[in-house]
Amino acid sequence: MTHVASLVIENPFHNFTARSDTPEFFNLNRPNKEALKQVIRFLEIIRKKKRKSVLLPIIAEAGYGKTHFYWVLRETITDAYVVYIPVPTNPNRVYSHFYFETIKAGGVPLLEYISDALTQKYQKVEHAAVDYSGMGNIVIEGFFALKDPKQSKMALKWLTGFDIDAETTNFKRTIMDDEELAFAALKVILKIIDKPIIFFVDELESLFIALGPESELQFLETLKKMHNEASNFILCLACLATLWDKILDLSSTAVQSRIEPPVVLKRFLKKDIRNYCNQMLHDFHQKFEILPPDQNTLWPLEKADIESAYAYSHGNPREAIKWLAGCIEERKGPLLENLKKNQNHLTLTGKTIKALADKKKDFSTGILQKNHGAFISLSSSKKRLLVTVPPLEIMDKAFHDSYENSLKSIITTEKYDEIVLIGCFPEYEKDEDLIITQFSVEELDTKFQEYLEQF
Amino acid sequence: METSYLQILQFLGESGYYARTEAERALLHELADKGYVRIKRGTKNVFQITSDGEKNLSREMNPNTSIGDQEFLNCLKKAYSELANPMKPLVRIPDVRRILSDKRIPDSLFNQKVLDLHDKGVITLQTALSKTHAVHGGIDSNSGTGVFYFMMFEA
Repeated sequence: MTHVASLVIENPFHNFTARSDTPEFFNLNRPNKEALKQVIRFLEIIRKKKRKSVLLPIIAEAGYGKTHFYWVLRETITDAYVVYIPVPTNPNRVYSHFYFETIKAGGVPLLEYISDALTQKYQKVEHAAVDYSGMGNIVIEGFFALKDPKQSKMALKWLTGFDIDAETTNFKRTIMDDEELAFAALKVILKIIDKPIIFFVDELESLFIALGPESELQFLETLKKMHNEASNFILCLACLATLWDKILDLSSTAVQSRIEPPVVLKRFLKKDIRNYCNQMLHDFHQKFEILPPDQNTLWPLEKADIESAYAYSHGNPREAIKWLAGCIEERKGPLLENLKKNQNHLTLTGKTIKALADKKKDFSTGILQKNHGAFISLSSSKKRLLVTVPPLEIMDKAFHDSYENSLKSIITTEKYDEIVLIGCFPEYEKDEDLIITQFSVEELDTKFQEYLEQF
Repeated sequence: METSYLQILQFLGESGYYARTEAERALLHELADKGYVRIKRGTKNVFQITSDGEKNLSREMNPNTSIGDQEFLNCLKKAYSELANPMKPLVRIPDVRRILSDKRIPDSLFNQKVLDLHDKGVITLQTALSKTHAVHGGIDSNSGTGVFYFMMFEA
């Protein structure tokens, strides 16, 4: 039984802003379908080596789920790695930022994987030098050093920037100090790694807004260089739809020609709001010990709430979720109050029934509070009796349905000779094989006691 | 008020209208931002009506309120296909209005029909970055979503 006093009802719609550090496990297929299809198509092209890299803009209005789409990619795509890249605050340090975020996502296992793959392929660093000229050579040395027990700590410090122990604190240099070196390292990782990487660059427009068009232009030019020189990746550029044309206009024609036509994330239609509610309310129902009601899977919301959420939000998912959160908040208070009243009722009635049963020595008693009702089993050597207390009439139909399901399940699995209902529960269909006797709560001390005596 | 000034400017033609007060200047500058009037060359406060202004005036004076839903949708599709391209799937609503100005659809009717199409899931409207970015010609969403300033087909 849910303990109402300690019950914290978490609003299932409390979170209307996706974050890169908070996993989101649901996906509404329709709004993201086209974008996901495009990403999968380009992955296939890269895997077949028809193209080496792709710049794919994902555009949508604020609140349409751009950051959520990152989680959709992470949860859906298994044959690529997905790395979240917030737009760098400094357009001069793009590659080191990409490198750092990649290492943050892959961790030391990624570096070890690259190091293993390189040593396996080339055995010696000299052999690898032919394939990785210039800065790449220095990076290769770092990866080979990772396999050398004497140098591995220093190499790890150099590759990650993190101190492993006191031994490395005096070694101040890291790969991220040098943009070219970071880019070379990124190229090595992309070349060696077993699956393509999807870099999800979020809020492409923020450089434009914060630092102006020059910074945005510089950032886009850096991405162009990456597109030209590195391989085995997709750059998803998530951008506010309303600034997309400005960003496109300020970028050079060389950049423009490399960018794929943007994919637009779709908004919510009414059916999407309904599906979203169904997904989000599942846990809410479980917390209240409510089996999803057949008639209204949206409980405690109603069809009218979906209509009003759509009318208010005009299909903007964030605005719709905010509206729904408000609807839940409104209903939470009375719901909790009724739950408390019901729990008190069940406890009091249960105690009275137990006390009456205890007077008769030949009964063994078992009490179970479940699905907002009480189930008291009274067994003697000859018969088994189930005394059950349904939820109060003030409780929503969903609670009564849940109780009814529970009662049905108990009388199917356990064998009882007779069932006694205490209180009012008119909607329950009587089972022909069972004798159901009904008493009101007021009749407990009189008629019910007499009934027990007979029994 | 705007229509009255446009009528005066149309009547005065090439000679233009001299805005005497601050209030008049502010109003006429607002009309200039919308592209309905322009400052006469060589002057500071003399305004002339533009062809867009004349079209707007004709729309306001002889509004076409009888346009059917299907006809409106066809016009909207035509205007959208003129403005959109694969790299820029979203088009500005003021640009759509400009293209449809020959149809003399009053702004309020245009807004209502466009909002209806959005709510039916035929088109998608998207807001400007902020209300101040929707200088003119947007559609107020009357909700938390701001001013609709862009549109595209599909929902």
